[in-house]
Amino acid sequence: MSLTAALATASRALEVFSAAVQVSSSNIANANTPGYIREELTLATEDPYKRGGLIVGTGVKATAVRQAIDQFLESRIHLTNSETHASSARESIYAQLEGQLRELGDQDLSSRFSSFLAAINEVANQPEQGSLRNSILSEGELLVADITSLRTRVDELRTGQTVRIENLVDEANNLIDEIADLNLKITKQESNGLLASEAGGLRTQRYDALNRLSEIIPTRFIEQPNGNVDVYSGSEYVLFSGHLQHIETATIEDRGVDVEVVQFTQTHSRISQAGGEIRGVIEGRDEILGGFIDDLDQIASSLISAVNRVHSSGEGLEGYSTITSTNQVDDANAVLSDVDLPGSINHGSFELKVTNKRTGITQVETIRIDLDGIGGNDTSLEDLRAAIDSAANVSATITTTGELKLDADPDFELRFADDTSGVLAALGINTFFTGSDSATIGINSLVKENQNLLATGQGAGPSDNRNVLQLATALEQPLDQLGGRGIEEFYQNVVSGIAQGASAENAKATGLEQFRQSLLSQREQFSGVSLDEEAVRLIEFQQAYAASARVIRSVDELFDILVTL
Amino acid sequence: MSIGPIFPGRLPNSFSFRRLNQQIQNGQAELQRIQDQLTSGQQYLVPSEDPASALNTIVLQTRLERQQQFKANVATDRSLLAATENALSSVSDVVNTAKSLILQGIGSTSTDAERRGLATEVSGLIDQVLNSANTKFRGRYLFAGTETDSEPFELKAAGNVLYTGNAQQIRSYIDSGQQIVNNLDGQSAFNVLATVESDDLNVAVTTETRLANLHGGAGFKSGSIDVALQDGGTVVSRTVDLSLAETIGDVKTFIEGAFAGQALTVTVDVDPASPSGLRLTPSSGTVAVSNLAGSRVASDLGIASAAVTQISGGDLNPAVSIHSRLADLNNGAGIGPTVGTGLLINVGEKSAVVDVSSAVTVQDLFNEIRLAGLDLDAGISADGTGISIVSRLSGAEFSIGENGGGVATALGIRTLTADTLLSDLNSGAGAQLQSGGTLEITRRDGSLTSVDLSAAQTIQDVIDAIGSAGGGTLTASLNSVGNGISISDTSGAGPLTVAENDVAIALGVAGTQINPTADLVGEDVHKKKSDGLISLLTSLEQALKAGDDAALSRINGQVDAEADRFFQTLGELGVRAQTLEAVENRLLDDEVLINEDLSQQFDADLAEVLSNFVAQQQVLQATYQVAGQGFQLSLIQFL
Repeated sequence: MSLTAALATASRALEVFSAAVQVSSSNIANANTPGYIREELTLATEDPYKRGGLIVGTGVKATAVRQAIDQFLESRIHLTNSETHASSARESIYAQLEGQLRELGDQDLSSRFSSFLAAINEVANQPEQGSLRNSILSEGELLVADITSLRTRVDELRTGQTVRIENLVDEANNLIDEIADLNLKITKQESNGLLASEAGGLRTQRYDALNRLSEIIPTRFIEQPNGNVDVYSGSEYVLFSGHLQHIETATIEDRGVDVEVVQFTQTHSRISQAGGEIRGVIEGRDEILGGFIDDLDQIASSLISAVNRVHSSGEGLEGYSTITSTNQVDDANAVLSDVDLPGSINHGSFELKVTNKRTGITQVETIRIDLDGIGGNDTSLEDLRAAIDSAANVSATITTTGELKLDADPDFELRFADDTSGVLAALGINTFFTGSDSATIGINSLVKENQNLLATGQGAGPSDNRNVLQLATALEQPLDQLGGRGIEEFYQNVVSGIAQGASAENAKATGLEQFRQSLLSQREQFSGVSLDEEAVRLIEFQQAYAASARVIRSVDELFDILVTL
Repeated sequence: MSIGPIFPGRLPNSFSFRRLNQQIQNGQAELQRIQDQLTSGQQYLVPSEDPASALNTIVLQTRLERQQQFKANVATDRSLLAATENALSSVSDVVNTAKSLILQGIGSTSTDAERRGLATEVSGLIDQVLNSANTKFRGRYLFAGTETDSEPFELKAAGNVLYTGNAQQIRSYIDSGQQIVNNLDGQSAFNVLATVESDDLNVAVTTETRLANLHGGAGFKSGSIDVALQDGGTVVSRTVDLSLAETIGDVKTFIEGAFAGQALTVTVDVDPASPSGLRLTPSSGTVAVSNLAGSRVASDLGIASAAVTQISGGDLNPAVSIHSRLADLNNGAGIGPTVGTGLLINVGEKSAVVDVSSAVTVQDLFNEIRLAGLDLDAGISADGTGISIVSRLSGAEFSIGENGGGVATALGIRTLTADTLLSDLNSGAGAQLQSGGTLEITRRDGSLTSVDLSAAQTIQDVIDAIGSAGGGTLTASLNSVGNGISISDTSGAGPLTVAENDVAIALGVAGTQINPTADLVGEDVHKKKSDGLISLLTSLEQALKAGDDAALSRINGQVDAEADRFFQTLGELGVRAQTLEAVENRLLDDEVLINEDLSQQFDADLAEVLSNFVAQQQVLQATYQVAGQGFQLSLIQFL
C-alpha cells in the first residue's frame, strides 16, 4: 500500500514540478512584456494521513499561481501617476507658451515694442520727415499684428487642448470599460480557483489599465474578496460593485473662446482637482494660458489708453472735416463715467479747435466734462454732443448706432487738445489705436489712411513734435493700472513670471517623475522577471523533477522485486 | 535627471534594462543640451531654463535696444546741430564785415560814391544772411522753428524781411528723461521779431479760471483740505477732496457740495472786493479752513484760515489764458468802451484799425489782430500774466496806438505811453535833453512860451511841464488817435507853433497848427523795430546811402549789441554740441558694459561648454561599454 502511495506522491510531484517549469517558462517568455507581473507557483505539503501509529506525508501540492505584486506600492504609484501627469501636462503647456513668446531673440514682443518706440523717437528727432511718420504707422501695425497674433496663437493653444482633453476622456472611458470587463472575467475565472490572483494575465491587464487610468484622472482602487476592484476618483465613484460612471466633456466660454471642461456623466460634477493629466491640461489652459491672456489684455489696454490719451490731445498736419467716434455708447443719456468704454473718463475738460481754413484763424472752445457727481448735472454723451454742437461752425450728432459724430462746416476743420478727462480717448476720437484688449486692438483706420492725421504736434506748425515726444514719454511712464510699472517692465515681468513658473513646474515635474520612476523601479524590482532567478528555479525544479522520477524508478524496481518473488 | 536608489532584494533583468535605458537617455539629453549651447552660442534657449538670468537678459536686451535708439537720436541731433552751426558761421563773417563797413563809412573820410559802394556791399551781406537763414538740411529749414516746410525768411518791399517761422523748439530724447533741443529757431538765431509785451493784466478770478493758471500760471498740486463750520455747539467739519477740481467753479462745487444738506452750509464765491481771491461764507457762525498735514492746498487756494465769520481769500494771481474774458482784465475793470475805438496798428508803411468790439475773450482779440493783415501774431506773454503782440516784418517800424479810446492802454500794449522813457525814443537815440533842452512854443495869442524839459524823464514829465508852463490855457496830452504828444492852446485863434529844435524833433512835436480848433498833433517817436542783424543791415544800407553819420554810429552800437547776443547764441549751440558728444561717449561706454553683461548672462562660454561636451561624451561611452559587457553575463548560458 505504501509503495503505491509513494508512487502517487512522486507522480504528483512530477506534475507540480512541470507546472513550476511552466510558470518559469511563462515568466521568461514575458520577461520583456511591459507591465508584466512575475508569477510564482506557491507550493504546499499535501495533507498527511495516519496509518497505524504513523502520520505519513503525502507529498507536495501546488496551491496557486500567485502574482508577485505589492498592492500598497501600486496605490502609491497611482497617486504619483496623477500628480506627475498633471505636472508634466502643465509643464508642456508652459513650454508651448514659452515657444510662442519667442523671447530672448529679436522677433519677440519686447523687441517690437522697442521698434515702435524707436519709430516714435525718430519722428521726434526729425518731425519734418514725412516718411518717418509713416514708420510710426507701420511699426504700430507690426506691434498690433504681433499682439493680436500672439493672442490668436495662445487662443489656438487653448482651444487646441480640447482635442487632447477629448482624446484623454475617450481613453479614460475605454479604460473604465476595460476594467469593468476584466472585473467580470477575473471573477468568473477565479470563482472556481483555489486562491486569489489566479487569473494572472487578466490581472496584469487590469493593473495596466488601472495604472493608465490613474495617469489621466486621480483614482483609488479597492480590491474586493471576489476579485473585483472598485475604482473611485475624488469623492466620485467610477466603478462600484458593477455600476460604472464615465466622464464627458462640456463646453463653456472662457476669455472669448470655447473651452472644454470634464465632468462625470451621472453626477455631472467636475472631475477632481487632485491631479491627473486632464486636470493638468485644464489648469494649464485656464491658469497658465488664460492668465497670460489676462496679462496680455492688460498690456494691450494700457498701451491703447496710454497712447490714445496722448494722441487724442494732439494734432496732425491737418484737422478733421468730419470725425466719428470709434466706440459706441448704448445709452446716450447715461452719465459718461457709468458707460462701458475702453479707458476711464473723469471730471475734466478738453479743447475743441475750430479752424477756418481760408483765414487760418482758430477758435478754441473748452468743452467741460462734469463728472463730480454733485448737483445731478453730470455729463452724458447727449450733454457732450450739445456742448460741442453749440460751438460755432461745428455740428455734433449721435448716430443710430451710438457713435458721436462731429462735422465741421465747409472750409472749417476740427482739432483737439488738452483732454484732461480722457473722454476723447475713451470714445475713440482722434485716437491712434482702436479696440480695448489684445483681441480687438487695431490702428485707427482714419490715421492709417491719412498719416497727416497722426497727432505729432500740439498746434505749432508741421514740425511741432511735442505730442510725439509726450507719446515717447507716456510709453515709458509707470501706469497705475499696471501696478505702477511701465508697459515694457510689466511685460518683462510677465515673461519672467512665465519663465519662473515654467522653471518651477519643470522642477516639480522632474521631481515627481523621479519619485515615480523610483516607485516604478521598486515595482520592477519586486514584480519584474529576473532571468537568472528563473534559471535558478529551472535548475531547482529540474533537479527535483529528476529526483521524483528517480523515486518512481526506485518504486518500480521495488515492485519488480515484489512481482518476481 | 538622477536615477533612483536600488532597494535590497532581487534585481530583475527588466529592472537593469530600464535603468540602463534611463542612464543612456539622461546622457544623451545632456549631450544634446551641450550641442544646443554650442550651435546657438546661448547658455539657454528658453527663459525657463534659467529664469533669473533670462530676466536679466531680457532687461539688458531692452536696454540695449533703447540705448541704440538714443545713439541714433544723438547722431541725428549732432548732424542737425552741426549743420546749424555751419550755417551760422557764415553769418558771423557777415557780422565782422558789417562792423568794418560801418567804420569805413562813418565820418567825412569817405565820399558819397564810396558810401554807395559800401551800401551795395551791405546789400550783398543781407543776401548772404538770408541765404544762411533759409538753409535747408535733411528736408528741414533749419531756422524756421517748427514751420519747417517753407522758407522762413522772405524778402519784402523796402528791404524788409518777413519771418514766417515760429519760436518753437524741436526736442529729442538723448537718454531716459533727458532731452535736447536739436533746432535753433529764426528768432533765437536772428532776433527778427519786434515784440510789444504788456505788464501784468491782473485778470480777475472767475468760476471758469483753471487752477493750473493760478499763481501766474505756476498752478499747484491739488489735493484735500479740511473745512470746519461751527455755530455755537453745532460743528460740521469735512475733508474736501479737490484732486478732481480743474476750475475755481469745481472748487466751489466740491466745497459747497460737501456741506449740502447739513446743519451748517457754506457758500463759496469770488470776493467782489478783490476779484482775484475766493470768499467762504458760512450759513451762520464761523468757518475755518486748514491744510491737511503735509499739504499746502488750502494755502495755495489762499483760503487757509482760523475760525472767522467769513474768509476772504488771498490774491490767486491767475495767468491770462486765451479763454480769459476781456471784461475780466484789470481786476475786472475790463478794457473800456470798444465800440468805435479799437487799436491803431502801424507796421512799416501799412496801418490798420483793429476793431475789438466783437471780441469777448483774449482769443478773439488775438484773432482780430492776426486778421489785420499786418503780419502780426499775438500770444500770452512769456511770464503768463500779460499778452504780447509780435510783428514778423523785420526792418519795418511797428507801433500800436489808440484809435480814440483807451483799449491799447488798457491792454498794456500801447507803444508810446505816459511812462515811456524819453531816452528810449527814436529807436534808442532818445531826446537830447541833457543840455537843458527847451521847447519854444509860439502860442495862439502870439506870445512865446519856453518849456524847460531839463528835468523831464518820461513823456508824462513832458506833458506836465508843458501844462505848468502854459498857465492853464496850454495843455498837452497823448494823441487820442495813434501815438505822440498833442498840444492844445486856447489862448487865442492864431496859429500854434512849436519851434523846430532837437528836442521838438525828438519829441515829434515840431510844427504849426493853423486851425484854431485843432490840436497840434505830434508824431510817433517811439516805434518798435527788430534789433536783429537783418533789420540792422537794412538800416545800415539806408544810412550809408544817406550818409547819416549819427545813424551809423547808433547802428554801430546796435550791431555790437546784436553781435554779442549772436555769439552768445552760437556759444550755447556749441555747449549743446558738447553735451551731445559727452552723451554719445557715455552711451558708447554703456553699450560696451551692457554687451559685456549680456554676454555673461546669456552667451555660452565656449571653453566650458566644450570641456563639458568631452566629459559627457566620455561618460556616455563608458556607460555603453559597461552595459555592453555587463549584460553579456547570464546564468541561462550555463544551462
